[in-house]
Amino acid sequence: MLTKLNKILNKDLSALSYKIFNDTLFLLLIAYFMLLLAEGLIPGFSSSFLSFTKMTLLIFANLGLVIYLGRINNVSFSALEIKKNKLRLALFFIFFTFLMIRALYKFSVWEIVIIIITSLAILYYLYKIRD
Amino acid sequence: MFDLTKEIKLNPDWQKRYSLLHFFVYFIFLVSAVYFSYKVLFPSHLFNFFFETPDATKNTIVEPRSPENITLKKGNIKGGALVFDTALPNYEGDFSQIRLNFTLENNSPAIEEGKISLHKSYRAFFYPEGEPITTPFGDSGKFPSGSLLSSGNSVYITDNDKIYPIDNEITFSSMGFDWADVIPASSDEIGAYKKGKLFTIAKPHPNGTIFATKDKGKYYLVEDGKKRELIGQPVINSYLKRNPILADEKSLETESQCSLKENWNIFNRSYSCLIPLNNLQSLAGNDYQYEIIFGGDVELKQADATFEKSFGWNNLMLSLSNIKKKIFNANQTQ
Repeated sequence: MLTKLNKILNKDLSALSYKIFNDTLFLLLIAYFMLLLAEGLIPGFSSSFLSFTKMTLLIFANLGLVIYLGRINNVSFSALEIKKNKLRLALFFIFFTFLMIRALYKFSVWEIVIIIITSLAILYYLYKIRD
Repeated sequence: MFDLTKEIKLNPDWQKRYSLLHFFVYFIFLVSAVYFSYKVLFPSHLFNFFFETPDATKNTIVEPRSPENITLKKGNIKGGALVFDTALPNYEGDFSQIRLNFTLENNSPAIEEGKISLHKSYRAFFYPEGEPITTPFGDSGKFPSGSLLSSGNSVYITDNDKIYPIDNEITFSSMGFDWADVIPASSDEIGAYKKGKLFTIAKPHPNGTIFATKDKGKYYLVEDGKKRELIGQPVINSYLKRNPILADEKSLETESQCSLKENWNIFNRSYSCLIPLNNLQSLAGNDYQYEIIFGGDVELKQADATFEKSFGWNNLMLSLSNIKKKIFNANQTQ
Protein backbone atom coordinates (compact mmCIF):
# COMPACT_ATOMS: atom_id res chain seq x y z
CA MET A 1 0.00 0.00 0.00
CA LEU A 2 2.86 2.37 0.85
CA THR A 3 4.56 1.80 -2.54
CA LYS A 4 1.27 2.65 -4.28
CA LEU A 5 1.03 5.78 -2.16
CA ASN A 6 4.62 6.69 -2.99
CA LYS A 7 3.81 6.43 -6.69
CA ILE A 8 0.77 8.70 -6.30
CA LEU A 9 2.74 11.29 -4.37
CA ASN A 10 4.87 13.04 -6.91
CA LYS A 11 7.77 15.18 -5.73
CA ASP A 12 5.83 18.46 -5.62
CA LEU A 13 2.71 17.02 -3.98
CA SER A 14 4.73 15.25 -1.30
CA ALA A 15 6.74 18.41 -0.62
CA LEU A 16 3.55 20.48 -0.35
CA SER A 17 1.95 17.87 1.92
CA TYR A 18 5.05 17.77 4.12
CA LYS A 19 4.99 21.55 4.55
CA ILE A 20 1.25 21.68 5.29
CA PHE A 21 1.32 18.82 7.80
CA ASN A 22 4.23 20.54 9.52
CA ASP A 23 2.04 23.62 9.89
CA THR A 24 -0.90 21.61 11.22
CA LEU A 25 1.39 19.81 13.69
CA PHE A 26 2.72 23.15 14.94
CA LEU A 27 -0.81 24.54 15.43
CA LEU A 28 -2.03 21.35 17.10
CA LEU A 29 0.87 21.51 19.55
CA ILE A 30 0.10 25.16 20.36
CA ALA A 31 -3.56 24.26 20.96
CA TYR A 32 -2.50 21.28 23.10
CA PHE A 33 -0.18 23.46 25.17
CA MET A 34 -2.91 26.08 25.79
CA LEU A 35 -5.50 23.46 26.73
CA LEU A 36 -3.03 21.74 29.07
CA LEU A 37 -2.28 25.08 30.71
CA ALA A 38 -6.01 25.74 31.21
CA GLU A 39 -6.46 22.20 32.57
CA GLY A 40 -3.57 22.79 34.97
CA LEU A 41 -5.21 25.97 36.27
CA ILE A 42 -8.73 24.58 36.50
CA PRO A 43 -8.93 20.76 36.55
CA GLY A 44 -11.72 19.61 34.28
CA PHE A 45 -11.92 22.91 32.39
CA SER A 46 -10.56 21.70 29.03
CA SER A 47 -11.47 18.03 29.41
CA SER A 48 -15.16 18.95 29.75
CA PHE A 49 -15.06 20.36 26.20
CA LEU A 50 -12.86 17.86 24.42
CA SER A 51 -10.96 14.62 24.85
CA PHE A 52 -7.20 14.82 25.48
CA THR A 53 -6.89 11.20 24.35
CA LYS A 54 -8.33 11.98 20.93
CA MET A 55 -6.18 15.08 20.64
CA THR A 56 -3.04 13.13 21.55
CA LEU A 57 -3.89 10.48 18.95
CA LEU A 58 -4.49 13.20 16.35
CA ILE A 59 -1.09 14.76 17.10
CA PHE A 60 0.65 11.39 16.84
CA ALA A 61 -1.14 10.66 13.56
CA ASN A 62 -0.05 14.06 12.21
CA LEU A 63 3.49 13.39 13.45
CA GLY A 64 3.48 10.03 11.68
CA LEU A 65 2.50 11.73 8.43
CA VAL A 66 5.25 14.35 8.86
CA ILE A 67 7.87 11.62 9.38
CA TYR A 68 6.60 9.57 6.42
CA LEU A 69 6.47 12.57 4.09
CA GLY A 70 9.82 13.80 5.43
CA ARG A 71 11.46 10.50 4.45
CA ILE A 72 10.05 10.80 0.93
CA ASN A 73 11.53 14.31 0.72
CA ASN A 74 14.88 13.20 2.19
CA VAL A 75 14.46 15.31 5.30
CA SER A 76 16.79 14.30 8.12
CA PHE A 77 15.31 14.29 11.60
CA SER A 78 18.21 14.90 13.93
CA ALA A 79 18.00 15.35 17.69
CA LEU A 80 17.84 18.92 18.96
CA GLU A 81 21.13 20.32 20.18
CA ILE A 82 20.83 21.70 23.69
CA LYS A 83 23.19 24.61 23.02
CA LYS A 84 21.12 25.85 20.06
CA ASN A 85 17.72 25.41 21.76
CA LYS A 86 18.25 26.86 25.23
CA LEU A 87 15.21 29.14 25.04
CA ARG A 88 12.87 26.31 24.01
CA LEU A 89 14.25 24.07 26.74
CA ALA A 90 13.91 26.83 29.34
CA LEU A 91 10.26 27.46 28.34
CA PHE A 92 9.52 23.73 28.39
CA PHE A 93 11.12 23.41 31.83
CA ILE A 94 9.08 26.33 33.22
CA PHE A 95 5.84 24.87 31.83
CA PHE A 96 6.72 21.41 33.15
CA THR A 97 7.52 22.83 36.60
CA PHE A 98 4.19 24.70 36.68
CA LEU A 99 2.28 21.50 35.88
CA MET A 100 4.24 19.54 38.49
CA ILE A 101 3.65 22.14 41.21
CA ARG A 102 -0.03 22.25 40.31
CA ALA A 103 -0.29 18.46 40.43
CA LEU A 104 1.63 18.08 43.71
CA TYR A 105 0.23 21.20 45.41
CA LYS A 106 -1.94 19.47 47.99
CA PHE A 107 0.27 16.45 48.74
CA SER A 108 2.23 16.29 51.98
CA VAL A 109 6.01 16.94 51.94
CA TRP A 110 6.88 13.24 52.30
CA GLU A 111 4.54 12.26 49.48
CA ILE A 112 6.10 14.92 47.21
CA VAL A 113 9.61 13.67 48.01
CA ILE A 114 8.66 10.04 47.24
CA ILE A 115 6.90 10.97 43.99
CA ILE A 116 9.83 13.09 42.76
CA ILE A 117 12.46 10.50 43.67
CA THR A 118 10.47 7.71 42.00
CA SER A 119 9.87 9.81 38.86
CA LEU A 120 13.57 10.77 38.60
CA ALA A 121 14.59 7.13 39.06
CA ILE A 122 12.27 6.04 36.23
CA LEU A 123 13.56 8.83 33.94
CA TYR A 124 17.16 7.89 34.72
CA TYR A 125 16.43 4.24 33.96
CA LEU A 126 14.77 5.16 30.65
CA TYR A 127 17.79 7.35 29.77
CA LYS A 128 20.18 4.48 30.51
CA ILE A 129 18.33 1.90 28.41
CA ARG A 130 17.64 4.22 25.44
CA ASP A 131 20.36 2.61 23.33
CA MET B 1 2.91 33.94 8.00
CA PHE B 2 6.18 32.20 8.73
CA ASP B 3 7.40 29.08 6.99
CA LEU B 4 8.55 26.31 9.34
CA THR B 5 10.08 24.22 6.54
CA LYS B 6 12.20 26.69 4.57
CA GLU B 7 14.58 23.91 3.58
CA ILE B 8 11.88 22.40 1.30
CA LYS B 9 11.69 24.49 -1.85
CA LEU B 10 8.69 24.43 -4.19
CA ASN B 11 8.44 25.64 -7.75
CA PRO B 12 6.39 28.87 -8.19
CA ASP B 13 3.02 27.17 -9.03
CA TRP B 14 3.19 24.81 -6.08
CA GLN B 15 4.48 27.65 -3.86
CA LYS B 16 1.26 29.58 -4.66
CA ARG B 17 -0.83 26.54 -3.76
CA TYR B 18 1.13 26.13 -0.54
CA SER B 19 0.65 29.83 0.38
CA LEU B 20 -3.09 29.46 -0.14
CA LEU B 21 -3.33 26.27 1.91
CA HIS B 22 -1.01 27.74 4.56
CA PHE B 23 -3.33 30.76 4.94
CA PHE B 24 -6.38 28.49 4.99
CA VAL B 25 -4.93 26.29 7.76
CA TYR B 26 -4.09 29.30 9.95
CA PHE B 27 -7.52 30.80 9.23
CA ILE B 28 -9.23 27.56 10.31
CA PHE B 29 -7.11 27.51 13.47
CA LEU B 30 -8.06 31.10 14.28
CA VAL B 31 -11.76 30.47 13.67
CA SER B 32 -11.61 27.33 15.85
CA ALA B 33 -9.89 29.31 18.63
CA VAL B 34 -12.57 32.01 18.47
CA TYR B 35 -15.35 29.37 18.43
CA PHE B 36 -13.82 27.54 21.41
CA SER B 37 -13.48 30.83 23.32
CA TYR B 38 -17.12 31.60 22.54
CA LYS B 39 -18.22 28.17 23.86
CA VAL B 40 -16.17 28.71 27.03
CA LEU B 41 -17.26 32.30 27.70
CA PHE B 42 -20.89 31.86 26.63
CA PRO B 43 -21.55 28.24 27.55
CA SER B 44 -24.80 26.56 26.65
CA HIS B 45 -26.51 24.03 28.89
CA LEU B 46 -27.92 20.89 27.34
CA PHE B 47 -30.69 18.75 28.81
CA ASN B 48 -31.88 15.60 27.11
CA PHE B 49 -33.99 12.50 27.48
CA PHE B 50 -33.53 9.22 25.66
CA PHE B 51 -36.87 7.43 25.55
CA GLU B 52 -35.22 4.06 24.83
CA THR B 53 -33.50 4.21 28.24
CA PRO B 54 -35.94 6.16 30.43
CA ASP B 55 -34.31 5.14 33.73
CA ALA B 56 -30.74 6.00 32.71
CA THR B 57 -28.93 8.57 34.87
CA LYS B 58 -27.75 10.39 31.73
CA ASN B 59 -31.33 11.67 31.26
CA THR B 60 -31.37 15.24 32.54
CA ILE B 61 -34.87 16.24 31.45
CA VAL B 62 -37.11 15.67 34.44
CA GLU B 63 -40.12 13.31 34.39
CA PRO B 64 -41.68 13.39 30.94
CA ARG B 65 -45.36 12.84 31.65
CA SER B 66 -48.85 13.34 30.32
CA PRO B 67 -50.82 16.46 31.32
CA GLU B 68 -52.66 14.14 33.79
CA ASN B 69 -49.31 13.55 35.54
CA ILE B 70 -48.88 9.97 34.36
CA THR B 71 -45.13 9.34 33.97
CA LEU B 72 -44.17 8.21 30.49
CA LYS B 73 -41.70 5.37 30.43
CA LYS B 74 -41.35 5.12 26.66
CA GLY B 75 -41.68 7.66 23.87
CA ASN B 76 -45.14 6.55 22.87
CA ILE B 77 -47.11 9.80 23.29
CA LYS B 78 -50.80 8.91 23.15
CA GLY B 79 -53.13 11.86 22.82
CA GLY B 80 -50.30 14.01 21.51
CA ALA B 81 -49.49 15.97 24.70
CA LEU B 82 -46.32 15.94 26.77
CA VAL B 83 -45.10 17.81 29.85
CA PHE B 84 -41.58 17.84 31.28
CA ASP B 85 -39.24 20.04 33.30
CA THR B 86 -35.63 21.17 33.25
CA ALA B 87 -33.94 22.47 36.43
CA LEU B 88 -31.23 25.08 35.92
CA PRO B 89 -28.59 26.10 38.50
CA ASN B 90 -28.91 29.77 39.43
CA TYR B 91 -25.21 30.64 39.03
CA GLU B 92 -25.23 30.18 35.26
CA GLY B 93 -26.53 33.64 34.47
CA ASP B 94 -29.11 34.67 31.91
CA PHE B 95 -29.85 32.51 28.93
CA SER B 96 -31.50 34.21 26.01
CA GLN B 97 -33.29 31.27 24.37
CA ILE B 98 -33.91 27.55 24.47
CA ARG B 99 -33.45 25.40 21.40
CA LEU B 100 -35.89 22.47 21.63
CA ASN B 101 -35.42 19.43 19.45
CA PHE B 102 -37.47 16.23 19.20
CA THR B 103 -36.21 13.18 17.31
CA LEU B 104 -38.89 10.78 16.17
CA GLU B 105 -38.77 7.01 15.75
CA ASN B 106 -38.71 5.92 12.10
CA ASN B 107 -42.23 4.53 12.25
CA SER B 108 -43.74 7.53 14.07
CA PRO B 109 -46.48 9.64 12.48
CA ALA B 110 -45.40 13.17 11.63
CA ILE B 111 -45.98 16.00 14.12
CA GLU B 112 -49.10 17.83 13.00
CA GLU B 113 -49.19 20.77 15.37
CA GLY B 114 -46.06 21.09 17.53
CA LYS B 115 -47.01 23.98 19.85
CA ILE B 116 -44.85 24.51 22.93
CA SER B 117 -45.51 26.75 25.91
CA LEU B 118 -42.96 27.34 28.61
CA HIS B 119 -43.36 28.57 32.18
CA LYS B 120 -40.70 29.32 34.80
CA SER B 121 -40.96 29.01 38.58
CA TYR B 122 -40.16 26.37 41.21
CA ARG B 123 -41.46 22.90 40.44
CA ALA B 124 -43.55 22.71 43.62
CA PHE B 125 -45.05 26.13 42.86
CA PHE B 126 -46.62 24.61 39.74
CA TYR B 127 -48.65 22.27 41.97
CA PRO B 128 -52.42 22.79 41.77
CA GLU B 129 -54.00 24.82 44.52
CA GLY B 130 -55.45 22.84 47.42
CA GLU B 131 -57.85 23.79 50.19
CA PRO B 132 -56.72 26.98 51.97
CA ILE B 133 -55.51 26.73 55.57
CA THR B 134 -57.40 28.86 58.05
CA THR B 135 -56.24 27.38 61.38
CA PRO B 136 -52.85 28.12 62.93
CA PHE B 137 -50.11 25.48 62.89
CA GLY B 138 -49.99 23.09 65.85
CA ASP B 139 -46.84 21.77 67.47
CA SER B 140 -45.34 18.95 65.38
CA GLY B 141 -42.11 18.44 67.32
CA LYS B 142 -38.70 20.02 67.19
CA PHE B 143 -38.28 20.00 63.41
CA PRO B 144 -41.43 20.49 61.33
CA SER B 145 -41.51 19.11 57.78
CA GLY B 146 -39.40 21.20 55.39
CA SER B 147 -36.73 22.01 58.02
CA LEU B 148 -33.11 22.39 56.99
CA LEU B 149 -30.76 20.50 59.33
CA SER B 150 -26.98 20.34 59.38
CA SER B 151 -24.75 17.62 60.75
CA GLY B 152 -21.02 17.62 60.08
CA ASN B 153 -20.45 18.94 56.56
CA SER B 154 -23.89 17.88 55.29
CA VAL B 155 -27.16 19.73 55.08
CA TYR B 156 -30.44 17.83 55.04
CA ILE B 157 -34.07 18.66 54.38
CA THR B 158 -36.92 16.92 56.17
CA ASP B 159 -40.15 15.72 54.60
CA ASN B 160 -42.47 14.31 57.29
CA ASP B 161 -40.60 11.23 58.63
CA LYS B 162 -37.95 11.21 55.91
CA ILE B 163 -34.72 13.16 55.60
CA TYR B 164 -32.84 13.90 52.36
CA PRO B 165 -29.21 15.02 52.10
CA ILE B 166 -28.83 18.04 49.81
CA ASP B 167 -26.25 17.13 47.16
CA ASN B 168 -24.35 20.44 46.96
CA GLU B 169 -24.47 24.18 47.65
CA ILE B 170 -25.55 24.92 44.08
CA THR B 171 -28.77 22.98 44.70
CA PHE B 172 -29.17 24.74 48.04
CA SER B 173 -28.99 28.24 46.60
CA SER B 174 -30.85 27.41 43.36
CA MET B 175 -33.83 26.16 45.38
CA GLY B 176 -34.07 29.52 47.17
CA PHE B 177 -33.05 28.22 50.61
CA ASP B 178 -31.46 30.55 53.16
CA TRP B 179 -28.33 29.54 55.12
CA ALA B 180 -29.76 31.37 58.16
CA ASP B 181 -32.53 28.73 58.29
CA VAL B 182 -30.14 25.79 58.69
CA ILE B 183 -30.45 24.27 62.17
CA PRO B 184 -27.54 22.27 63.63
CA ALA B 185 -28.71 18.80 64.63
CA SER B 186 -27.02 15.90 66.38
CA SER B 187 -26.43 12.58 64.62
CA ASP B 188 -29.12 11.03 66.88
CA GLU B 189 -31.65 13.61 65.74
CA ILE B 190 -30.70 12.96 62.08
CA GLY B 191 -30.80 9.21 62.72
CA ALA B 192 -34.40 9.43 63.96
CA TYR B 193 -35.52 10.04 60.37
CA LYS B 194 -35.66 7.53 57.50
CA LYS B 195 -32.87 8.47 55.13
CA GLY B 196 -34.01 9.19 51.58
CA LYS B 197 -32.05 9.60 48.33
CA LEU B 198 -30.03 12.71 47.51
CA PHE B 199 -32.03 15.91 47.18
CA THR B 200 -30.94 17.26 43.81
CA ILE B 201 -31.76 20.40 41.87
CA ALA B 202 -34.34 18.46 39.86
CA LYS B 203 -36.43 17.54 42.90
CA PRO B 204 -39.50 19.56 43.92
CA HIS B 205 -39.57 21.28 47.30
CA PRO B 206 -40.78 18.85 49.99
CA ASN B 207 -43.87 18.99 52.19
CA GLY B 208 -43.74 21.82 54.69
CA THR B 209 -42.11 24.30 52.33
CA ILE B 210 -43.61 27.79 52.47
CA PHE B 211 -43.73 29.90 49.32
CA ALA B 212 -44.29 33.66 49.53
CA THR B 213 -45.30 35.48 46.35
CA LYS B 214 -43.49 38.77 45.87
CA ASP B 215 -46.14 40.30 43.63
CA LYS B 216 -49.35 39.42 45.50
CA GLY B 217 -48.03 38.89 49.05
CA LYS B 218 -49.66 35.47 49.42
CA TYR B 219 -48.25 32.51 51.35
CA TYR B 220 -48.61 28.88 50.33
CA LEU B 221 -47.77 25.63 52.11
CA VAL B 222 -46.64 22.65 50.02
CA GLU B 223 -48.48 19.52 51.10
CA ASP B 224 -48.98 16.21 49.29
CA GLY B 225 -48.65 17.50 45.76
CA LYS B 226 -50.72 20.64 46.31
CA LYS B 227 -50.05 24.19 47.43
CA ARG B 228 -52.43 25.45 50.10
CA GLU B 229 -52.83 29.16 50.71
CA LEU B 230 -52.36 30.35 54.28
CA ILE B 231 -55.20 32.72 55.16
CA GLY B 232 -54.82 35.30 57.91
CA GLN B 233 -51.76 36.75 59.62
CA PRO B 234 -51.97 34.50 62.76
CA VAL B 235 -52.00 31.43 60.50
CA ILE B 236 -49.09 32.77 58.43
CA ASN B 237 -47.07 33.63 61.57
CA SER B 238 -47.67 30.15 63.03
CA TYR B 239 -46.32 28.44 59.90
CA LEU B 240 -43.46 30.84 59.20
CA LYS B 241 -40.71 29.23 61.31
CA ARG B 242 -38.10 30.05 58.66
CA ASN B 243 -37.68 32.30 55.63
CA PRO B 244 -40.19 31.44 52.90
CA ILE B 245 -39.10 30.64 49.36
CA LEU B 246 -39.83 33.71 47.25
CA ALA B 247 -41.87 33.05 44.13
CA ASP B 248 -43.88 35.08 41.59
CA GLU B 249 -47.61 34.55 41.24
CA LYS B 250 -47.41 35.83 37.66
CA SER B 251 -45.03 32.98 36.76
CA LEU B 252 -48.12 30.76 36.41
CA GLU B 253 -49.56 33.02 33.69
CA THR B 254 -46.43 34.34 31.99
CA GLU B 255 -45.32 32.02 29.25
CA SER B 256 -43.14 31.87 26.20
CA GLN B 257 -44.08 29.92 23.08
CA CYS B 258 -42.78 28.46 19.87
CA SER B 259 -43.96 26.13 17.09
CA LEU B 260 -42.04 23.06 16.01
CA LYS B 261 -40.76 22.90 12.43
CA GLU B 262 -39.33 19.87 10.70
CA ASN B 263 -35.54 19.88 10.33
CA TRP B 264 -33.73 19.06 7.15
CA ASN B 265 -31.83 16.01 8.35
CA ILE B 266 -31.00 12.95 6.25
CA PHE B 267 -30.08 10.80 9.27
CA ASN B 268 -33.24 11.06 11.33
CA ARG B 269 -36.62 12.73 11.53
CA SER B 270 -36.54 15.67 13.90
CA TYR B 271 -38.41 18.84 14.70
CA SER B 272 -37.13 21.91 16.51
CA CYS B 273 -37.92 25.47 17.53
CA LEU B 274 -36.44 28.36 19.49
CA ILE B 275 -38.17 29.72 22.59
CA PRO B 276 -37.13 33.23 23.65
CA LEU B 277 -36.59 33.74 27.38
CA ASN B 278 -36.69 37.55 27.76
CA ASN B 279 -40.11 37.67 29.45
CA LEU B 280 -39.24 34.84 31.85
CA GLN B 281 -35.75 35.93 32.99
CA SER B 282 -36.93 38.15 35.85
CA LEU B 283 -39.22 35.46 37.36
CA ALA B 284 -38.08 33.62 40.48
CA GLY B 285 -37.38 29.90 40.26
CA ASN B 286 -35.03 27.37 38.72
CA ASP B 287 -37.58 25.12 37.02
CA TYR B 288 -38.72 25.45 33.42
CA GLN B 289 -41.90 23.54 32.66
CA TYR B 290 -42.70 22.70 29.06
CA GLU B 291 -46.13 21.76 27.70
CA ILE B 292 -46.02 20.35 24.21
CA ILE B 293 -49.06 19.73 22.05
CA PHE B 294 -48.16 17.44 19.15
CA GLY B 295 -51.68 17.33 17.71
CA GLY B 296 -51.70 13.53 17.40
CA ASP B 297 -49.97 10.35 18.55
CA VAL B 298 -46.19 10.38 18.11
CA GLU B 299 -43.31 8.01 18.93
CA LEU B 300 -40.39 9.97 20.34
CA LYS B 301 -36.83 8.73 20.39
CA GLN B 302 -35.14 11.69 22.02
CA ALA B 303 -35.90 15.15 23.39
CA ASP B 304 -33.25 17.88 23.74
CA ALA B 305 -33.44 21.33 25.33
CA THR B 306 -30.36 23.54 24.92
CA PHE B 307 -30.20 26.77 26.88
CA GLU B 308 -28.21 29.30 24.84
CA LYS B 309 -26.66 32.55 26.03
CA SER B 310 -26.73 35.87 24.31
CA PHE B 311 -23.47 37.52 23.35
CA GLY B 312 -23.26 40.39 25.85
CA TRP B 313 -21.09 42.20 28.39
CA ASN B 314 -22.95 40.93 31.49
CA ASN B 315 -22.70 37.28 30.45
CA LEU B 316 -19.02 37.74 29.57
CA MET B 317 -18.26 39.25 33.01
CA LEU B 318 -20.21 36.46 34.72
CA SER B 319 -18.28 33.76 32.82
CA LEU B 320 -14.94 35.38 33.68
CA SER B 321 -16.02 35.65 37.31
CA ASN B 322 -17.01 31.94 37.35
CA ILE B 323 -13.64 31.00 35.81
CA LYS B 324 -11.82 33.05 38.46
CA LYS B 325 -13.83 31.34 41.22
CA LYS B 326 -12.99 27.91 39.77
CA ILE B 327 -9.26 28.76 39.76
CA PHE B 328 -9.33 29.78 43.42
CA ASN B 329 -11.62 26.89 44.44
CA ALA B 330 -9.35 24.42 42.63
CA ASN B 331 -6.42 25.76 44.65
CA GLN B 332 -8.30 25.30 47.91
CA THR B 333 -9.98 21.95 47.39
CA GLN B 334 -7.51 19.98 45.21
